Amino acid sequence: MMPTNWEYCPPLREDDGMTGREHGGTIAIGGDPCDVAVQVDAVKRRNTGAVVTFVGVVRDDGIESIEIEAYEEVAIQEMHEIRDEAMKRCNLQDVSIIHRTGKLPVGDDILLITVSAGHRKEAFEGCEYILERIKERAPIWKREFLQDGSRWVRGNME
Amino acid sequence: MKIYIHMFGRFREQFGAQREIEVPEPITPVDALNLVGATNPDAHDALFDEHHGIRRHIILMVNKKRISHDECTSHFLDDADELGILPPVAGG
Repeated sequence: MMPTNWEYCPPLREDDGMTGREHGGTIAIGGDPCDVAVQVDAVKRRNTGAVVTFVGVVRDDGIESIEIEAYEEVAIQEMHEIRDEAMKRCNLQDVSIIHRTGKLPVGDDILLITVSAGHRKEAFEGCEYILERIKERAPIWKREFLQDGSRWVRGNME
Repeated sequence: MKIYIHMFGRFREQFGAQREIEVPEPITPVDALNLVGATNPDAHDALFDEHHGIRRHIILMVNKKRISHDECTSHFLDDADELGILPPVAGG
C-alpha cells in the first residue's frame, strides 16, 4: 500500500539546483518547534540523491525540562560559518540548522540539522560535521530543571 | 576608561549579566578578567586554573569577535569595548 502522505509530497521546482538557488535551507535560533518535513523539502534539489536529518531531543535523565540560552548574534554567525565549511568540505547541496532556545520539556526537539547531497556518504558526513562543530563552537548553554532545583549542563568539551 | 563585561550561561548567574567597570589604561583582556576574578574567590576559581591561566574552555570575545587565550595578554582594550566571557558551550 502506498504511504498515505506520498501524494502530498510537494513536487520539486524546475529551477531548483541548476539555476543558482544558493540556500533554500534555514539557519535559525528560536523557540518555535521544528518542522522536519518542511526542512527536508527546503534543502532538496533536482540533483539531490540523499537528505540526512539529525534531531537532538531532550532526554529524560531524571529531569523535567531544560532551558537553553544562546548568545544569539554570535551563535547565528557561527552556524553560518559551520554551514559554509560543511558545504565546501562535504560537497553538500544545501543545509538547514535550527537550534531551539527557551524552556523545553523532556521529549521536545532541541536541534534540527537537515542536509542534502548528491550521495548518502556526503550527506551523512556533512550532517555529523555540522553537529560536532555546533557542539564545539556555538555559544549555547543548557540548564536542567529537576523536581527540586536546577543545574547547568557541563560544557561539551569540558 | 570604561569597558563593558558581558557574561553568559552559568557565569551570568554567578556574576551578573553585564557590568560597566572603570579600568586603568592600558589593559588587556586577561587584566580585565583578573579584575572580575578579584571580586570574589568563586569568580577567580571559575575563570582561572591552578596555574593562574584562563581555564581552557572559556571563550572570550572582544566586541563579539572571538579572541584566543594567547591574544588575551597582548591585545589592548579600547574605551567602551565589550568583553564577553562565555563558559564552555553545551549546545546541540
